Amino acid sequence: MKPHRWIVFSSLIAISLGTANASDEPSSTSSLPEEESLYDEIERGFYSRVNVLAFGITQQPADPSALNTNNVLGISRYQAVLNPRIDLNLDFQRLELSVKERFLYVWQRWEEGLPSGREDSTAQFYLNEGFARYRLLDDLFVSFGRENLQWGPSVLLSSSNPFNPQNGRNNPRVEVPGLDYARAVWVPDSNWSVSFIANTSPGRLFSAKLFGLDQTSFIGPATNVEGRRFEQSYALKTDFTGDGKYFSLIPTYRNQNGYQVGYLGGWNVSDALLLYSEGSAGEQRDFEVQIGTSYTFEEGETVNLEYYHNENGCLLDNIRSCFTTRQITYRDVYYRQDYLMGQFTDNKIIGDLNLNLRWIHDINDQSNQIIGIFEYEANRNTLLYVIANGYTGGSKSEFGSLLNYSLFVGAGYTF
Amino acid sequence: MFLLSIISLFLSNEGHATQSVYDILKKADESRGNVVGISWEVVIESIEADRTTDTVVYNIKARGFDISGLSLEPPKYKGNKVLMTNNNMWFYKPGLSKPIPIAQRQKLMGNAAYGDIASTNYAEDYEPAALPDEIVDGEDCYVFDLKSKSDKTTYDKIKYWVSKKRLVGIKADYYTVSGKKFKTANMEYSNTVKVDGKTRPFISKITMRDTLINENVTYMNMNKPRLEPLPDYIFNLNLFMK
Repeated sequence: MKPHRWIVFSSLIAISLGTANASDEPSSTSSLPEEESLYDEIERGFYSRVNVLAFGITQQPADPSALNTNNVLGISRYQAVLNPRIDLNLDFQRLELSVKERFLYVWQRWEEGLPSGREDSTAQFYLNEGFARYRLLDDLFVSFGRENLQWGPSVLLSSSNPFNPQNGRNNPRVEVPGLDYARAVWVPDSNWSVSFIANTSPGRLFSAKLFGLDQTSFIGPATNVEGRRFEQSYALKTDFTGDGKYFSLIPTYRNQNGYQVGYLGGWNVSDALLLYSEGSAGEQRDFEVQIGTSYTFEEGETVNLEYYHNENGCLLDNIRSCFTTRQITYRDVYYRQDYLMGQFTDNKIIGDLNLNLRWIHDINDQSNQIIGIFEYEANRNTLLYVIANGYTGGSKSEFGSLLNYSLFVGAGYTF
Repeated sequence: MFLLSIISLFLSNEGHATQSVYDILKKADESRGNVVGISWEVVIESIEADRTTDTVVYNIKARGFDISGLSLEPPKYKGNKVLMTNNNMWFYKPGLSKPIPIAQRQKLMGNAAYGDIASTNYAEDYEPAALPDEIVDGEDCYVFDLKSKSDKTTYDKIKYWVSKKRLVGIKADYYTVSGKKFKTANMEYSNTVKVDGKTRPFISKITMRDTLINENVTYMNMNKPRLEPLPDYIFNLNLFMK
C-alpha cells in the first residue's frame, strides 16, 4: 500500500470511528495512572514486617588467654535471647517514615573464671532505627533520625565508612546498631548522586555493646576498649553508577581526628565476575585498603576472596599489649594489619538449606576465624539458623585469645 | 457503519503488513513494559521435578532495564530487595546491614532471570531479522530472529513470535552466545492498560520452560500493572533501604 493511500484510509477510519488518528497512537510515554483515593494511596505506601527471633548461644572462652585471664571480660558460657523486631514503613507522597522497634530479653550464665556460677537476665525496648525522609524537590531528599547507614561491596568490613565500619556480615542475625544522622541526598540523574551526611549522635553504637550483643555474639572486649568516645563527623558522599561499574568518593571531617577520604568502587567484568575495592586515608596515619573479587558459577554458587590492610593495625606480639598501649580504638573491627578472607555462598544447596562458609585469616599472627552460617527454610514463615564459629591461634593471638568456639542456634518466625 | 467496520478490519491487516519490523517490535514492547516506568506485582512460581519449590511475590518497579523490587511473600522472604541499575545489581535481605553487590548471573527464581521482569525493549536493543511466518496455537505470527546489540540485554539471541492480529509477542526461544537454546517462554495478555486514553492488552503471564529438563517450569504472573513515570531516585542505592 502506498503511503498517500494509507493516510487517506487512516483518516477515513478515524472519522468513521470518531476516535484516534495516527498521532494518537499509543506510545511508550504513558499517561499517568488514574486517580486513587487517599486510603488506597496510604495502603499502597505502607509496609510492615514483624519478625520474632529466638536463639541460644553456647561458647567456650579460650584458656589460657592473654586477653581474658580468668575470664576477666566476663564472657558467658550460655545465652538465651528473645528478640521481636517490628519494622514499619510509610511512603506517602513526599514523606517517608520508618520505624524499627525492638525488644530484647537476654539471659546469661557464666561457667568460667571469676563470674563462674553466676546467672543474670535483662530486658530492654529500644528503637534501632527510626527516621523521617522528605522529598523537598524531585531530586532532593532530606532526612533525620536513626539509621543503620552502611555501604560498600566488601565482606569483612566497610573501611570507607567513617561512621561505623562494622557491616555485620559475620552474624546477620545480630543487628548492627543504628546511629543518628541528618542527611541530604541529591539525585541529579541516573548516574550521579551526592549525599551530605552529619552524624549527630552515637545512637545505639555504644549502648548495644554495653548491653551485651555485638557481632561476635558475646560480651567481648569491645566494652573495654579504651578511647571509646563519640566523634561528630560530616561526610560528602559522591556516587557514580555507570554501565556495569560504580565508584564513590567520601571526604569526611571528624571532630577529633580531622580529615579523611574514603572510596569504594566495583566493576562487573562479566555476568559472573565482579572486582571491587574500598578504603580510606586520613590525617592520623589511618590508611586502610581492601581489594576483593567474587565469581558466581552457573548454578548460582558464589566465591569471594578479599584482602584487607590497615596501616594502624597493631603488630605487637601479644594482643593484650595492643589494648594496654591503646593501639586499638573503638572504630576497629579487626585489630591487626593484614587479613585474608575467603567465602563460599550457595542457596538451596540441599533442599531448602542455604549455606555461607567464611574463613578469616590474620596474616600477622596466623590466627583464624572460621564461620559457618546455615539457614534452613522450614516453611513459609520459619527460618532456622545455626551459626558456628571456630577459632584457632595461640593464646596471645587475635582470634585465639578469646574463644575456642561459639555456637548460635535460633529460629525466626515472620508474620 | 458495518461497511466501515469491514473496511477498517481490512485496512488494519493491510496496515500491519506495511509496518516496519521496528514498528511491530515496538508495538509488542508496549504490551510488555514501559520504558518510562511500570509498577506491578509479580507472582513467581517455580516447579522442578513436579514439585513446587516456592511461590514468591515481588512488588516491582521497572524502567527500561532498571529494576527496584521488594519481596512481599512468602513471609520468610518479606523485605528482601533487589536493585538493578545501569547494569549493576544489589541484593538486600532483612538481617543484612547493607545491600550486597551480586553478579547478573544470579537467577531470580527457577528459570526466571531478573531481566524477565524488566521492561522489554526488543525494538531498540536487538537487531531483528525476519523469518518466515508461522502459526502458533492457531494464531498467524510474524517470526523474528533478534540478536542483542549490547551486553546490557538479558539474552544474547531470541527467536520471537508476534501475533499479526494482536501485535503482541506470544512466544520466545532464548539462546546462549554459542547458539544453544536454553529456555522457551509463552506469554499471555489478560491485563489491560490505558495508554493515552486507549486501552491496550498488557502482559499478564509468562510461562518459562527449561529446554534441557522439560518438566522444570516457572510461571510469572504480572498483576496490577500501573504505568507511571519512575524518576531516577527510585533506582538510587542511597535511598534503597527500608
